[in-house]
Amino acid sequence: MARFLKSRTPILSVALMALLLAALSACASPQSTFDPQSDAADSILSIYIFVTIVASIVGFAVLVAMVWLLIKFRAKPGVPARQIHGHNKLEVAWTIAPIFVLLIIAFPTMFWIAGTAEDPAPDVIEVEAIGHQWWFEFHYPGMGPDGGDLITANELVIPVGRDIRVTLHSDDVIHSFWVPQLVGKTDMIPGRTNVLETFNAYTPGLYFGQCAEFCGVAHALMRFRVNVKTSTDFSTWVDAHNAGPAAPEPGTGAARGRIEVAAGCAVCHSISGQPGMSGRIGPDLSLFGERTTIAAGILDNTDANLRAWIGDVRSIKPIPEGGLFMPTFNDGTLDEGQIADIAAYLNSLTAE
Amino acid sequence: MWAFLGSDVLFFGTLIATHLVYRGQSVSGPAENILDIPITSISTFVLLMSSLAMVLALSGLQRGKMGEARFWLAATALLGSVFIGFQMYEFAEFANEGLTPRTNLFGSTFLIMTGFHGTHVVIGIFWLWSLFFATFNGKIHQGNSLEVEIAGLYWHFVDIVWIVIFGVVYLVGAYGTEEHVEEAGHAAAAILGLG
Amino acid sequence: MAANTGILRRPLAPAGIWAWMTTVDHKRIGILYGVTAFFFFLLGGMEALVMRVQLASAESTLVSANTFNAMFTMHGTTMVFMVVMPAGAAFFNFLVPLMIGARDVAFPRLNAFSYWLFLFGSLFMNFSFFMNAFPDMGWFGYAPLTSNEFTISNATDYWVLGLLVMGIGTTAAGFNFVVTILNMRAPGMTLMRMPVFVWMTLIVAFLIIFAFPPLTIALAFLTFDRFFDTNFFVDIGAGSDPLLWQHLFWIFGHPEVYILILPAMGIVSDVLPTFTRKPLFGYPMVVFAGVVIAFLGFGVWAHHMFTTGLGPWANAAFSATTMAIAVPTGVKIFNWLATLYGGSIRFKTPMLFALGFISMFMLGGLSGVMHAVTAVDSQQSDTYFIVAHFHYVLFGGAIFGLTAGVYYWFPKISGKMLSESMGKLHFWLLLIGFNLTFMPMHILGVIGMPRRIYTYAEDMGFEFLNQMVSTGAFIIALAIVVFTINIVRSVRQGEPAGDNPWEAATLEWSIPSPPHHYNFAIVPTVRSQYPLWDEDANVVLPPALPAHDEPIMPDPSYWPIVLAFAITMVAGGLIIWQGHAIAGLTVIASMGLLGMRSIFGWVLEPMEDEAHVSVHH
Repeated sequence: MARFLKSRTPILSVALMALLLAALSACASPQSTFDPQSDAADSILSIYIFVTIVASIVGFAVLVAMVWLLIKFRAKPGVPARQIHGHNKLEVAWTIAPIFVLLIIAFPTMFWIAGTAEDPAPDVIEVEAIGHQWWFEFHYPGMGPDGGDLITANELVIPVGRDIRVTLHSDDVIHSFWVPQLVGKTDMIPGRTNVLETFNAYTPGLYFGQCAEFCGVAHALMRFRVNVKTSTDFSTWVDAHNAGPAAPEPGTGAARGRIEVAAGCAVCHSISGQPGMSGRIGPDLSLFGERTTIAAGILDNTDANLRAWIGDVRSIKPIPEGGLFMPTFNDGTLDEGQIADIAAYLNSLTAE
Repeated sequence: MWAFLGSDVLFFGTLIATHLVYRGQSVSGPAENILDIPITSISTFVLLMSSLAMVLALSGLQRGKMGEARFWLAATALLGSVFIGFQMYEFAEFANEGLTPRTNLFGSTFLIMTGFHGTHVVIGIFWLWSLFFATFNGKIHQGNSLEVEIAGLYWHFVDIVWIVIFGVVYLVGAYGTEEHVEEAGHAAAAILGLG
Repeated sequence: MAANTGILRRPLAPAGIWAWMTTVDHKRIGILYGVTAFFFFLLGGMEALVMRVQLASAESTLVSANTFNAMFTMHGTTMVFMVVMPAGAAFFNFLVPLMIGARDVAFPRLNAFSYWLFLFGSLFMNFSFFMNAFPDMGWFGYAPLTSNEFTISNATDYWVLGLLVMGIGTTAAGFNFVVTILNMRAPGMTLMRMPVFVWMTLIVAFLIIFAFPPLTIALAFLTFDRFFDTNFFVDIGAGSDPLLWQHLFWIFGHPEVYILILPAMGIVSDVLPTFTRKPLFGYPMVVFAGVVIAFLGFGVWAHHMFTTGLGPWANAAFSATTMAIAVPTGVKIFNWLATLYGGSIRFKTPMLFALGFISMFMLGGLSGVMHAVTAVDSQQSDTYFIVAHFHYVLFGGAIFGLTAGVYYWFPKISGKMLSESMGKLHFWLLLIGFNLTFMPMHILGVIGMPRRIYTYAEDMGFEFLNQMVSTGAFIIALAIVVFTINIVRSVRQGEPAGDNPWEAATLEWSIPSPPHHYNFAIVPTVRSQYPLWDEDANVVLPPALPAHDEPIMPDPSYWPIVLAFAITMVAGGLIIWQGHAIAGLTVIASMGLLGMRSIFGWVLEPMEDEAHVSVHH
């Protein structure tokens, strides 16, 4: 029995693999590369499935051959080993055959690489993404008020069905921009401009992204969302962003919050259309009420979460003290009421 | 020694390559324009002569002529020291004109590269003096001239590295036009996907 | 009288710890490397277990982000530089002179020096743990995260300096083995009659000589940037390019992985013939494939940089060369399988691990081909898919292969047999645990889990697979416990092994277990690749030589350990200098002087002391 199992080790491994691959389909994830929602992600997945099939065939064949050899040539009393030193034709054959297999894989690879170098459609939307420790900044050149940049953070809003071209920068260390369902990743390197593969999303929806290059202590919590909207919704969003928010009702928490934000937060943060609120150190907060997540994609945008975040970012992310990082405020700098007001104001910034 | 020299080829190769890749990209501060070709030509000649001295030292030892061997060993070490003297003068001048390893890319890459080379020369000088003194107490003699031959291999290698640096960094750097320098830098950078 | 070139007398017949500290005997140095590597294997394994416990549940707060980041940094650094490389060195050291019929390596004191630098460098780096500066920037230390601006603590300094110290030792070992293998083979042993393990050692030695200098330079640049404010990687405003670090690191890093795997391939190539009782199929092709892999290995480094925006030409070129390297690798695998054909296969523990190596390494190689395809890599890079790939080749490959070597040569090294039943238990637990740990990681990568994250959100759907992975990790731990017990028990009470328990064919099996300190009573003349299987092989062991007839062997020396200590302390002095300038400079100056004195002492000291020479002649 032991010998039986021993010689079937490779088969057991293959069976285990098959089980796990089956488990793959049961494992849904909002960041899965197996759920492509754009032309770019789709073509990558096609190549990937093709390569996997080829590799699996090769792997399976080799493992089966190995098992067969182990069974057939296990030591039997009285049967000596054949003293074979080699066989030239076989060597040639198994050098040439893999070359063919690799050529089969190489062709789609090279065509894809060439495809990524092509120009996008003329109505492409250009976005500039800047990586920071530990959040994402997005600029839309030419779409802002007076033809300047529209600036937002952590939630990239784009229209469905149009080519999107993202250029990538970094303000500090190397980050990487990755939203698996839409496009493969490219690194954001300080001092260098990289360009993400042009992609075109199929359906409106919310897609999950995450920084994919170790960038310091809070790397694991540097995430973002891509919010694909219909064309109309996207235009509405752009207009609302540029128009700036309406003044909140006097006497409400939001009104009090507005004063707090102008007095303190605006040193680092900006809100479009609000004079005096143009700090560029931290993420832009325009249309904050429209955002589905806060703190760079890691918490849902609820009032409770927002208050906890504003009060003490360090209770949620391992951000070091000092430098240009957001200070802790609930140590006496702001009281609970002020924090609640600020949260109320921020979430009042909606498209209406 | 050959194995060690193999690794040292990569060592200096990397240093020179880094310098070339960053060529033309210093944002501020002095660059190739600070190099003094006439003076460096003299020091290069001195180092070349030291290699000749090394050959003569080995030849003397192999023929059992201890006096010759000692003379030329000392000459090699002295010529090497003169070279180092020139280097130190050059570095001091550069510092006066505002170029240190901290100044800019040129400063960092050029000074660290030539600094490592100079360190190799200094180690060689120590080695040569040790051999020189060893000829007096019988530890180095005609029978074990291999010891000196190996030191010679090292010394010649260090000299060759200097020839490469002088040619590629000094001559091409100073006489290649600004455009050529930039082109060369960009070409190297482009191949590696840098810059 | 012993000639002294130092203050202390040269040890001629040392005992106990002092004997081990001054040994220049390649067999003892091999044992030192092996024991140290095993210790770090356990340490690195514990670092892995901390990570696995943390990641077994979503949003776990078991360890802090900083601790976790230090764990993955040190797990990687430890396993690569303090486990797999020194384990390979352990085998090179013990076996190569025996396999080529030599009495020691070409430069015995340099050999010891390499070991002490490894030990002191690795202790130096790990010492940072007690200084609250455990490296946490990733084992590949990307700029500019490693600059002073973004890493305030000394963690990066310990990492850089520790690697520099260890690197000197490794490079020296490279020189030693090239010269030993090329110059000290027994009469009749042409290059094409050497055991494949010796060939792989030769290739690895060349790889070390050419791959370590770029790393040394990269580390030197980073040291200058951090200590002296130069501009190699860190001042973006001044034009420096972080990608320069990546290029230099990976020009080293890719050949490094072949340094890690070729010894294991050599071991397997020598284990298979013994347990199939027939020669290795296609010996020249296996050797040639190794050489081709080494060459091509210098041409693929930027496949670690596909996502950095090198441009379509660079991506296409490196994608092609990376695929090309699969060809010689496949050739080796096919030749190993063909060795099984027509054989008489005995399933002893070394053979099981060799078979495990072939299958697991092949799986890892296939996943590597997958991300040689740039398109696929744009999704897989920096995810758990990559983690799965390199663990299949480094653990399923290198570790399984090295373990096969341990089971195979333990009898020769210690004179005792390891327990077969515990060995088989070890194998099965490890195979199951290993696959349970690393197979699900392929899926985790594909469903979007990035690397180097200390936690993940509950709604990501990663938890179930992570629990599987963590369970597997503990099964691996159990297997290692079994292994440790086996070794400890067998060293004391194992069955006596005799000189050739496996009926193997190569020269090391023609001498007693453990060998005399002079290795061979009579230097053999070699007529084939499998000397002990020759029809006219003289398999009767000559008796041990009487003491006055023993060949003169290199004498012990304390200079290697003293010099290694001095170099490490200079590194320590640099770190002290950052905080306390005068104290640091004092340490650097005094240790520097000690180092220079050691070099003179070493050079002037003859390899064999005059006392011994005069007695024997």
